[in-house]
Parts: sequence; structure tokens; C-alpha cells
Amino acid sequence: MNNKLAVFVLSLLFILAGCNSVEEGVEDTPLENQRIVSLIPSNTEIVVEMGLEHRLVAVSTEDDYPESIVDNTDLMKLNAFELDEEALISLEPTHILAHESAESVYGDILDRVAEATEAEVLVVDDAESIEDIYTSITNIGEFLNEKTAAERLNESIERDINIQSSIFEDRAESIDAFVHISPQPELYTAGGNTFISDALSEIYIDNAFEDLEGYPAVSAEDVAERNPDTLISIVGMEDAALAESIENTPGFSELAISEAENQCNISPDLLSRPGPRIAEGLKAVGRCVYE
Amino acid sequence: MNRHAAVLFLVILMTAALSLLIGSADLFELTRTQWQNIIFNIRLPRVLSAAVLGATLAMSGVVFQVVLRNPMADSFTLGMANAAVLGSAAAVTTTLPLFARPLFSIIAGLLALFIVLAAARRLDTAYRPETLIIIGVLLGAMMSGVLYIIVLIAPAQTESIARYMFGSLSGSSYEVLLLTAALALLSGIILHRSGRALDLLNLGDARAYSLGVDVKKVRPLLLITASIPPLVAISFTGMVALVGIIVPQMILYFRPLMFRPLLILSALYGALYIIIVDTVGRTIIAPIQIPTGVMVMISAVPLFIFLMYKRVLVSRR
Repeated sequence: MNNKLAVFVLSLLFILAGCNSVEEGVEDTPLENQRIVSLIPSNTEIVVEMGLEHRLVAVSTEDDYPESIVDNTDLMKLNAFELDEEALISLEPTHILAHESAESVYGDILDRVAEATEAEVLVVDDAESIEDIYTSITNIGEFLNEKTAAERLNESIERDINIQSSIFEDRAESIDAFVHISPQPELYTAGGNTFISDALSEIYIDNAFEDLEGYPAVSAEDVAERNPDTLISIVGMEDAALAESIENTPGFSELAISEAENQCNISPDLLSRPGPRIAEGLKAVGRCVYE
Repeated sequence: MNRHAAVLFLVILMTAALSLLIGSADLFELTRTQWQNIIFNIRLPRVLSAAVLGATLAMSGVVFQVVLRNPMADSFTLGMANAAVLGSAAAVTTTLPLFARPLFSIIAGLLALFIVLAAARRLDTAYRPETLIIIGVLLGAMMSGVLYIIVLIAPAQTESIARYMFGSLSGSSYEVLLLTAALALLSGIILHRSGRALDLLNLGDARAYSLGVDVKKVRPLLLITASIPPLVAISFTGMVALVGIIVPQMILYFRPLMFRPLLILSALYGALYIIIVDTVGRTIIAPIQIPTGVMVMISAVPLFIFLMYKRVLVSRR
């Protein structure tokens, strides 16, 4: 009899516990109790720039900015390509910031984690323009209940981009650039509908592959045919390795982009992340191309 | 035979010339320096590399099939191609100079060949072709696993896994072309001169021995000579499989031949085959480039199954 009672009491407890947590989920988490997980560097940078670094409980292993993120040993570093579901659940996150580009990789896992922990998930869309970056930030702001911080961040990015735009306005000669995303033998570039291409147009640089979409692989002869004036490399190679790679790509040695003065080696973190440092990336490109 | 070879050579020249004229860039809209650059620095080395790669893979296939008396033997089914790309990837993660790459590929490829032959002999005293091939393909799969680990550990130095698994001629340069062409020519001459010994080997070890072939010595020497050029080629391009089987076996399907004419025709048809599939691969959905290895797989596997269906690819003993 005692046993039966114990089972009854226990199951009652479980049911009550269940009800309890459901109710908790409905309420908005108090801001300071937010436990944010960010799974892509650009989102992490946005969260940090909004002044919410202290609410982060986990980031991805790719996230390397700012330094304080890397140095913070309390912050769990998750491999976004092999997401550790158990580790993520044990963190009890309240807000998970994912990205469209990796949805196919971890979409199912996040669904299960959200069910287990009642965390809310925001999948940030791929940015195809600067405007899309602002939208991403606004969405993240609404998601985290920090609309003003998001607005302020957007204003400051816009101001920085306008500054760069006005600096290079006068020297606007027509410059055709080849955006170098991965080296020979798989030459990937940025097509027209990308935020990289849109950002470059802010400082009057035309994309040699504007007519293609997304991030296509192109052949060496396509590049030779379009004969761009300058190379904007965001591979993240050393200068010497980049020069050698370009020189050794069939057909490139006779193009303008094989000359050192026409090669801009830009840190990929600045130009390939749809985040707050895009203006800094434009500054680096503008200086290299025009000065 | 000579006429056949001469006609084939002409066809290769014409195909190669046509291949020089087509590509993702439209030559007629370009300036003189631009089209010269595209033809001489991009397309010509690529077409020549395709010819050399096809010829060397097909030649080595002929020799493997005769020496091992196994119509399904080639650098891929013996696990050597996987070993060669593994060696190539391992070499770039070290600080060794550039020539380490083909050298590592040769060593790894020959080692794989040795392991496969030894294991097959141990497992199956009857030495059936299937045993050898299954072991070769499995060992190859295992080495692809190891290759993936290397790519995971050193992503910055290595290329993407797809690039290793499906070879591509897109980075062809004259230096690499010269090296592989010289090796292919040298190996081809040696193999051609060993034609009599190879024909005798085809009769079986006992008869070959009684007719004056030192089987124990000749067999490994021929295998090594035939292995080196394709291993070097693969170390630069990545995996290109099955050419060594389908080219000679398709020729044999239409007409049985002695070793020497088979070697020459295989080299020529191999060259033509790779030129054609690579040209199609780089133009059909341009500017997206389909790697050579993918085009070969797509075209070769149906032919392989056809040959199996026609009972060409079965043991002849």
C-alpha cells in the first residue's frame, strides 16, 4: 500500500513539475536571466555590440571576436557543424540564435533542444544586402527584447558605412573587382545578390561577377575573360601565399590581378561576416584599392 | 593496327583542337591577349594533361590486367588511387618540398598494392579476381576514411575532401604535365619492350616460366613500372577511377589483341576518352565546372556494368 502511495505521489509530483515548467515557458524570461546561445560569428558579434555579452552562455568554435569571447573560459564553445545536443540542453538556454546557412546542418537538433528546454530559436536569414544586415539586427533585437540597442547599433553601422562612402566618393573611378573567396582549384566568388557585393558598391567598386547569383564556383577562364582590375581576397591567406596562389592559377599570371598592387588581402572576418564590422571591412578595402 | 592507331591519333588531334576552342569564355568577343592567354595558359595545358592522364591510366590498366590475369584490375580497384591521394594529402601537411607530393603518392600506392596482393593471396589460395578487387576497394575505402581525418585536422593545408575524391584537371600546369608525360613515355617504352614477356604471362605462370620468363622477378617489376605514372598523375589531380578497366576491356570486347597493340590502342583511346569527358564536364553547365573524376565515374560505371553483363569482366582461368 505504501508503495502504491509512493508511486502516486511521485507521479503527481512529475505532473505538477511538468505543468509548472510549461507555465514558466509562457512567461517572458526576465532580461537579466536570458541565457543566449549564438551559433555563428556574425550573430555573436551583433549580440556583443548590443552590449549583451554577459548574457551569452555558449558560442560556436568559429567565433573569434571580440577577444573577450575567446578568453572567456566560462563560455561554452560549441562546434556548430557537429552540434553537441546534450551539452546544449544541459546549458538550459532561453534564446538560441541560429542562421539560415546552417539550418540544414542543425535544424533538427535545435527543434529537439527547443522542445526539451523550451528555449526560443531565431533563425537569422542569409543577408543579401546591407539592408538585410540591418533587418537581421532588428530581428535579433526584437527576439532578445532589446529593440533600442538594435536600433542604436544599426544607426552606428549606417553612419560608419556612410563615412566610408563619402571618403571614396571623389575618387570614384570605375573599378571592377574579383572577390576571391577560395583559391585555385576551386575558385569561389561572390555574385550579385550578396551583401559583400552590395557593400562594395557603397565604396564604388563593381563586382566582376555581378551577373551571377549567390557564391558560385567559377573557372579560371571566366576570370580571364572578365579581366578584373583588382583582386579582393577574403580567403585569409598570408600575402605571399596569396600572391603565389594567384600566380600559379592557370591564365592568371597575365592578368592585372597577378600584380601585387592590384591584390587586396582583406581579413575574411571583416568582409565575409554579415555583422557590425562590415564598415571596418569596407575601410580596409577602400584604403587598399584607392590608396 | 597501324592504320587504326594513325586514324585514332588524327581523331585525338581534332578533338583536342575542338576542345581548345570551346569553354565557358567566348573567344570571339575577347581581345587578342585575352584569348591567347585563355588558350595557351588555361585550355592547352588542360587538354594535354587530359590526354596524358587518360593514356597513363589506360596503359597501367592493361598491364595490371595481364600481369594479375584479372580483367577488373586497375589503380582504383587495387586501392592504389585512394592510397595515392592519401599520400598526396599527407605530404602537403608536412613541410617537405613540392616534389614530396608525387613521391609520397608513389610510396603509398605501391604499399597499398603490396598489401592488397598479399592479403588476397592469403585469404584465397585460388586467387579469384573478385577477392583481389573486394580487398582493394575496401582498403581504398578505409584509406578515404584516413584521408578525411587528415582533412579534418589540417583544413588549411589540405584541399576539400570532394576535390581529393573526384579528381580535376582544372589546375593543370606545364610543369606537372611535363613530369607526368615524361614518366608515362618512359614507362610506356619499357612496357612495350616487355611485350613478349607479358604475352607469355597471359598463358599462366607455369608456361611462361617454361618459356623463359623469370616470373617472380618480372611480375613485380612490371607492376611497379606501370604504377608510377598514374600514381604521380593522381597525386596532382585527385582520384580518377575505372579508366584503366573500361578502356582496354572495351577494346578487347570488340577484338582480342596481343599485348603490344592493346597497350598502344589503350593509351590512344584512354587519351581520347578523358579529353572528351573533361571537355564536356567543363562546358556543359559552364561556368560551373564538373570535375573530371565525376564525369569519368558517370560515364564509366554504366560501361563497367555493360562489360560485366557481357561476361567480359570475368576470370579467364
